[in-house]
Amino acid sequence: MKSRWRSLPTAIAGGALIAGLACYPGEVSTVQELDLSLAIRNPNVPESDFQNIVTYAMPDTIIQMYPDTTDNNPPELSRLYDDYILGQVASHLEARGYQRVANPPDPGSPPDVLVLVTVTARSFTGAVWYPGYWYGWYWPPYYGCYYCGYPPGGYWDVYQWDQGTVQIAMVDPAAPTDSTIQLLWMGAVTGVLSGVSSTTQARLEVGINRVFDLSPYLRRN
Amino acid sequence: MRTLSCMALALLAAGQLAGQSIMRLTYTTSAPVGATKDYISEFSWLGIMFEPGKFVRDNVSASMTFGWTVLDEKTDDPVQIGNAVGAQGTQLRYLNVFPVMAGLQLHRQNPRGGSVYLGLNAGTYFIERRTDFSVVSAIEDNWHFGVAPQLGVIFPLGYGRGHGNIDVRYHYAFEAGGHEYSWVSFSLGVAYGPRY
Repeated sequence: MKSRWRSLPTAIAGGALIAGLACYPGEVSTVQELDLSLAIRNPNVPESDFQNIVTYAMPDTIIQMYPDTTDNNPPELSRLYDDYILGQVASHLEARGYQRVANPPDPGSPPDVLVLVTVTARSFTGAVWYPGYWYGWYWPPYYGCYYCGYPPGGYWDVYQWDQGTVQIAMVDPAAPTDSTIQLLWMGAVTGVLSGVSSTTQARLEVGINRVFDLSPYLRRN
Repeated sequence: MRTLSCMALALLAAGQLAGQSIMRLTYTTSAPVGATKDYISEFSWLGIMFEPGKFVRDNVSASMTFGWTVLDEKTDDPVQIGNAVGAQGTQLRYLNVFPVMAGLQLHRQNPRGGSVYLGLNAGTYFIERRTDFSVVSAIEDNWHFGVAPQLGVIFPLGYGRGHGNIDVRYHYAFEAGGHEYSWVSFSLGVAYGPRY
């Protein structure tokens, strides 16, 4: 009987060793754990500038972006969550004290900023054209005419985004002087729309919430 | 009288330790401290240490330490990159630590077998720091100079040369690649070799 008790520490040590080595730390267990929210402020724009914003305009459509393609009819991602995404973005901006104005805005009384929501419909790396505010974005036929003629007033940007990444861009609507529009801020939720499932809406909610949580400076004074 | 007899027996027994080898194999858990805790705060249950050694004097042993410890944490903490970019998502953070050290232990023998020891180890740690963020992994490998003071006890199990071993050690890996690390390990295992 005594020898059994004496062997207990050895048994414990051996058992713990085997158990410990058997369970290597956790890996990603759900697709939600691959979602990543990003908030990027233009480093040339001080945080205090966002306190002076009062009004914004936002199209009621989410633009799906494609890499350069010869396909005249590239397949779209599901638009099942477009209204939900736009509603979430509008809700957050309203909570931060920003006032939404009609879209398209009155050219004689432009909003302080434009908020443009896009989704990458295909994973790609490369340059993408954002159409200008003054042409194309608010007036047909931009939507559905991918890369339609590169109207003046837009800007190029370089990206590497996963398919289904939601991007929320806040841009300065001031008339561009050098064919570029200044990006003030951008939020992104990567990959969340790459497929549609029962968890998509919850993932969108978490992802968009995080984008705004990461941007506490987005607040009207 | 009985105490004196015990002390005499202990001294006699101590005289037999010099030259004897000792090998310790322990299961090791770890608690991050200091700056390491800012990166990974969770207690680690994954580690092993193998320490061959020899009594160079009756109350002094010299040893080598080889081991593997994994500290890890899954977190959703937001990350600030510079002053303009914030990111948040599930991060898997790992520290894979491989110590290769030499050490000296000063033993105080127990008349009934075993000993309590105080030691100091010095050498290197190879540390892999890995952060998985969404589908991106950032991996940094560095060799660190390090020291590890230790306190432990070897206790009899009634198996002749086989003993139990409990060891507590503070590990400090000096800065390399912009990171320094410290943690406290708690080990439980077996020591084989000396006949007390």
